[in-house]
Amino acid sequence: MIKLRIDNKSIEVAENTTILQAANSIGIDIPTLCYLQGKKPCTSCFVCVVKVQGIDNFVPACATVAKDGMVVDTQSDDVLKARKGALELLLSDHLGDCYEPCKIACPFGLDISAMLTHIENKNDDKAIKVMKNAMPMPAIVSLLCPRPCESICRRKQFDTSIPIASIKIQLAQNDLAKEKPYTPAPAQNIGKNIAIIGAGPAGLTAAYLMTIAGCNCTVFDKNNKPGGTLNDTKIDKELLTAETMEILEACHEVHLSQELGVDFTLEQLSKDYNAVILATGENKIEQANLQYSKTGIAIDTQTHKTSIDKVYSIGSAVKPAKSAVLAMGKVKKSCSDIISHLKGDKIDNPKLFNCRIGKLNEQHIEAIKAIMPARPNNEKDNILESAKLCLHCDCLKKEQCGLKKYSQQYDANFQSFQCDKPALEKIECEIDGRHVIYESGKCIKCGKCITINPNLTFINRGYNSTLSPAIGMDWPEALSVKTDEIINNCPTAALSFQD
Amino acid sequence: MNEIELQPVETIANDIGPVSENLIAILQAIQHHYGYLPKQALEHLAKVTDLSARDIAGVSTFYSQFRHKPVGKHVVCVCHGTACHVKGAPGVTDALRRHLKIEDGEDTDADGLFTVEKVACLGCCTLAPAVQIGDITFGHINAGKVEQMLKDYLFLSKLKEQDKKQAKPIGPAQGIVKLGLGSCCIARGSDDVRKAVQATLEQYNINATIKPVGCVGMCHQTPLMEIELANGKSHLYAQVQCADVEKIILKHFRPPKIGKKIVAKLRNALDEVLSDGAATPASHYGIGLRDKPVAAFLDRQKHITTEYHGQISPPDLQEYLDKGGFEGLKKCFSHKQQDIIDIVTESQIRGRGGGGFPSGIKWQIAFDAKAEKKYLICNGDEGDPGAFMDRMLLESYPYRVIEGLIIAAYAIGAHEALFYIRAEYPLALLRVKEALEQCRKQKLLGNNILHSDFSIDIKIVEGAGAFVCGEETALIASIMGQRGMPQIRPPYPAVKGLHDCPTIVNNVETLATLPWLILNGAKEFNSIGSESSKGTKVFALAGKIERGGLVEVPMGITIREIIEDIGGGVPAPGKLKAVQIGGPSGGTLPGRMLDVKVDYKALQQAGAIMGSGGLIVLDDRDCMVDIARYFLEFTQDQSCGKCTFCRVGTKRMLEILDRFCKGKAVLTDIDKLHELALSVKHTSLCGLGKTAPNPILSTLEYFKDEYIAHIEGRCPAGKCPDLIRYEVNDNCIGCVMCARVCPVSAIEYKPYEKHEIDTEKCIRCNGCKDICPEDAIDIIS
Repeated sequence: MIKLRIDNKSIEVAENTTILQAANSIGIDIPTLCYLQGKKPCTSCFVCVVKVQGIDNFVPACATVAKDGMVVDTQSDDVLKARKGALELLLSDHLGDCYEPCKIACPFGLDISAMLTHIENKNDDKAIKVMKNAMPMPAIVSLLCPRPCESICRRKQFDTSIPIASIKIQLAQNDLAKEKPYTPAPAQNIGKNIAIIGAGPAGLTAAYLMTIAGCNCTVFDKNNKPGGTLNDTKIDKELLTAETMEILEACHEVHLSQELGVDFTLEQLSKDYNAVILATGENKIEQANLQYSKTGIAIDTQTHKTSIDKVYSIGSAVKPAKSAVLAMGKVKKSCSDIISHLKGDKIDNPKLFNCRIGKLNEQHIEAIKAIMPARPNNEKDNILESAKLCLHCDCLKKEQCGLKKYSQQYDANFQSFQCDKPALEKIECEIDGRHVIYESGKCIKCGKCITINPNLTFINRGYNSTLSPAIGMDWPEALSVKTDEIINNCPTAALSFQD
Repeated sequence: MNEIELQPVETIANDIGPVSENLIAILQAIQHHYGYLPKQALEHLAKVTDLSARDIAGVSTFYSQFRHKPVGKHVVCVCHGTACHVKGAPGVTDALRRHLKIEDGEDTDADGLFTVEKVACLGCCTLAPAVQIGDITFGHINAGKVEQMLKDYLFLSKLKEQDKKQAKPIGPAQGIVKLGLGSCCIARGSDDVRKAVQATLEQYNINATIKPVGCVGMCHQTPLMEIELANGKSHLYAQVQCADVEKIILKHFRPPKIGKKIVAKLRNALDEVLSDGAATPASHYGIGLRDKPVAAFLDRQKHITTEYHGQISPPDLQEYLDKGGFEGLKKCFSHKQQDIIDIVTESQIRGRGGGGFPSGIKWQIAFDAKAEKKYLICNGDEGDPGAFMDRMLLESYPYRVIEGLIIAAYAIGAHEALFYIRAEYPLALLRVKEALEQCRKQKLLGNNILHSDFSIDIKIVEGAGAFVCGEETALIASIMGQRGMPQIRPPYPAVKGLHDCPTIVNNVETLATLPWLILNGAKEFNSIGSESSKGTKVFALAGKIERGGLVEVPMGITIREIIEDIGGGVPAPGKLKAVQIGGPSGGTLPGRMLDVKVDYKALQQAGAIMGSGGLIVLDDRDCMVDIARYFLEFTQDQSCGKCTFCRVGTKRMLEILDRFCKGKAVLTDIDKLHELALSVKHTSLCGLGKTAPNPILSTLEYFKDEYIAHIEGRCPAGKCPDLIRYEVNDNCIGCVMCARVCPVSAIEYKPYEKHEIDTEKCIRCNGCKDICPEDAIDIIS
């Protein structure tokens, strides 16, 4: 047996055990992108580096065999920095967006690509579900929205953007026309009674999302109809009523024509409810002990608590927004923080890692032109035809991508280097009825697929090396061997199924 | 694509043997046949043999030697070795491409006549910048000479086709004409001189022998010709040109049929030339070994590895035997294997290839390893631009290297040995091949050699152009016919190498030292050198130096002694700025550090490495940022691509250096570069990645001010094209030569007037400055 120390823990392992295996056996997690269990290590990614006492250089844990008396450090600052360095180098040579730019731009973070995929697959019900799970009052919101999704739409660089807002409006109206429009099923009830003061854009958003999250919401508004400032817009009143009523119907109780300080007091509510949320818009509230900031009601930025116990505030009451929709988007995030706070969970909003292509170069533009869906003549009024135009900029494996996972974990910056991005190349083929995609720009040259599939090889050398089928073979033939295994093991979306 | 005849593919594969180990050799033969590797031929190869289709794809694209596009009728190889780089090779390549109107992304002109290729190093650093077309090498080429060079080549290649009649020599043997015929000498015209000598001897029926001898090391004096007369007297001529040959021959030898009077007349004519200082061609000197510069060049050297330099004929086995060849090996056979290893361990000799690992310890590991088979490999994959020691040793001392190889094999118990020699060294390959053949004939190879019970055979494997194959695990992969990708060590090849057997990989120079070491003993050997470094080291001395060449010096000598005493310092008006030691893995030391000793430890502490032995002298016109960029461009291109830090890291470093050279870098780029360089150094698997940042780290340490100047938009050395402009000063006499040579008409034709350069049009090719006879062009930064 071999005795060694890893992170100050003594451990005994059999001969020929690697540091990676030894560390894993005592629950120490070492990240790796190229390690393939049971196969000879590729030692390519260098994300698994550790420090061994007495060796100047970092060594890859996946291929370094444990030796008697070895002292290994897997968590020191310089090891973490080296791993981050490896990830940043890989990211500098990785061409892809984790998330579609339109989703990032959307105030509600709507999964637009997924929504459009459902429409393309003629499954509008699923599309409606995606949309309504992410946002309240989709028709009204889409009518009022400044549409940052369409401004950033990559398709715009080639002809015009996907009419995302129009598609959403159409979807929402189709839904409303149904006998029983879709309402997101609330999550398991968390036993929290929430009083929401104000049934304007912010209050309605809070009521909608918190109900979905499993809270019992009671809404108060001084007016005799809901909607607040939405009533001042040119929106069709019938539509306004339909979408606002949909929200209020799902609430626990609704009290209209009830004014704070006149019909009820905060003190009273804070006794009766687990939380009171002030969503009164820009109106100043006459209330003792309620402190104000320069912009509105003063809150703790993390918990959204005001100076009064159990009272929270959201929306324009805290800080006026440029548009109702942008305010509602912010409210969505505030609500999730408040719910976490009420549940006693840690409010943790790590910056979501999102690799971006950014500006396309000439090669990228030409490559996209060659593969992008053609624009039909009858596109207008037809959401199916419009949805088909989507370039689906998001990553097919954003949930599984190891590069993304570790980049998030190690806080890697994908723009650490000022450099040219790799070329865009997309190979698509049908294998056993499944749509298989190879995107060379996403490949990190880990070598796993080559270890698994004998038809694949690297060609060229160094920075120019790239995956290729064996000589005399085309991609479909090469990828048809052990397809599932290579795709599941590919640490990025260089190889993926598109379903 | 046109249909091609595919039958040869099958024949080639079957002749060589269609097994994966032979893949590189098969591809080389296919390329030799078609001029390139046609896709159809490769597909056919996969179809008709059991060779792996994916290896064919992977291997044929890994090595630089393989081309996948048809090649022009003539291949113009522009040397981009370090010495050529600092003397302007990039400008030569640009000028050639411009002149031949080769489009971006292409390497061949539209007519398919010329292909322009950058090559790592032709090994004629003293001719820099050098260009090789076919078998003709042109030296000191600059942008302005490119057109004439191509014309000359076409003319010369026609001439070469004409055969000459042979005549029989008459009369008693009058002596020997010795000619240095290393490839660097050949590059400087010694082969043409040989032909001229032969023609002269034939023409006058003189009975004298031409004897090709190995490298003398005095590259700055080549072509060298030594006339050894029957009476034992000898005369040495340096920088001989074809036109001088007839006169020199007739000065020393008597043609049997020509009257004395005529000979006397001819001799007088020669004397005139030699005595009339003004008329003496600069290219033509009679020199003696006691001449001051020659003595200085030779006196400080110590010839162990290069023993009998310039005296023995490389292919002549008998001569090697007469001079004590294979005595070392004989001595071995009277000792136990362990005794030999002990001698080597005691001598403290360290691997000369760059790594500097103690050879004795390495051997001991392989000796102790229990295995049915063991291998010994001679690493002749010298790819370091600006280093050509190994090539010279293989060309000039093939038997000594073979003897060393057998000694090492005997010591560890290997019965199979291999030479791995890069294909770019055709002469070395030929010489070793012939030498092995001779050895086999003389029973120095095969069973029970020298009547011992030791048997061995030696094979040659040709490399195909990948610097990374100098790394022993990559070299083994390459021998196996694979892509040259290094593996993690341990296991070390000494334990588990070729075919998973214990394998020792020793560098050419290490092996060439062994015969002397064994014969003279460890004590004698380690009496030479310094505390931590014993014996001698061969350096290729080039760059801005008066007397460049190959030198073998005792360890412990200072860099100053090499540069100033042996090399004669920097030619005026240049001032020594730095010396680059160890090539792409090494560092650049400033002039004030010249007293550093040639010693593994001392050099490393100073920020350089011993490396394989490239030593390039740089003067005040060399930009240190450009030097760092040059080496990074090389290592980045040569990275095998396996590991993240080397594959992507070297590319990112090169991009940052590019920004510096273009004046687009910002202050934070210095830290970024430094940090990245350290990461790559500390987080790479093999020697290439670990040492690739050294040129950056050493220049950042000693020449940070130059990096800062580049941020400010200045290149103090006046080298980086984006940061300089050319101006005509008052020395201009209006000779119009600059206007004539300018490839972009940036200089207006103004006879007898001061010329002007249009900075907008100027492409900074340096053509005007190269040609100006009055030093009237200034570089302004």
